[in-house]
Amino acid sequence: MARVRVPSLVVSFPTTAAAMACEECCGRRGLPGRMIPLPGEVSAGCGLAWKASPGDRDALATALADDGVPVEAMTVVELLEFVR
Amino acid sequence: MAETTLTIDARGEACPIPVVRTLKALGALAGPGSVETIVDNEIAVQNLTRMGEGKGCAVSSERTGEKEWHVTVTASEAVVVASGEPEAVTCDVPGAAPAPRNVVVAITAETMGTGDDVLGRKLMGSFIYSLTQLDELPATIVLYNGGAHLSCEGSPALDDLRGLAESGVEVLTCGTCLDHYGIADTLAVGEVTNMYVIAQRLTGASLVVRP
Repeated sequence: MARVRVPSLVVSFPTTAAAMACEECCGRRGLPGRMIPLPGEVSAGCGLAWKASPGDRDALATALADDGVPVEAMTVVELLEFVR
Repeated sequence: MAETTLTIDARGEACPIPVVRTLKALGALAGPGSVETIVDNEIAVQNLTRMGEGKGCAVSSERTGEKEWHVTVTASEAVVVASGEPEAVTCDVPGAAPAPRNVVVAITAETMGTGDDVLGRKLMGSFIYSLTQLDELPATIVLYNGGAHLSCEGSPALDDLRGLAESGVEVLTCGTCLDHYGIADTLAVGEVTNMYVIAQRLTGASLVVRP
């Protein structure tokens, strides 16, 4: 199966706890995405991030703001994905 | 007394055989003399030259045909060849592509590291995702003991493991472990394996990664 680079929205957080809160928030609200390690293209730091499609930016921003989850940045980078 | 000259026809012989035979012949001279080795490729010439010079000998070579070179290694005194040294010769092919790596990832638990298991599960999920982002995928992922849960239904790593498996990564889960945890019916990616195969994969790997 091939892998291709796909533009992806990466949400980064000031703390690991905030990243976990995002996962809980998105799971509870049925919002798309998944946890990934923070890509090096976004930051040289070590941390967890939330990956979703760029089109999900507004829905995620609204939900995270409503739940009081602090967000550091939302960045679009190309990440490898399997293409079935 | 004339110095001894030995001739070796190593045409058609794959590297490192020409070097091995020449080295043995140098040792057999047991004194000043020459070994002339006939080879059919330039890489062998380079390897013979490197070996001869490494032994303190004078080395000359001459191309005598489209695919024929004569390499003469001349020793001014006895060349010491240690027991087992010829057998230890490896083939050095400058510019050749490196041998493919055989990386095996051994996942032994649902968590990565010790301390906080909630964090450990996130870290393991991140690690398996990170495998999907590597330029060169591992050859094999073996999952055993608690790691067996990760290839079963309900695992947060399932999509990543499926993508890896469908991209050619061998995903093997310990059958004893699946039975022990009562999850044999829920295996969702890869194949069930046994300890003989696990031992073979781990010992045959060029690198074993255990997160």
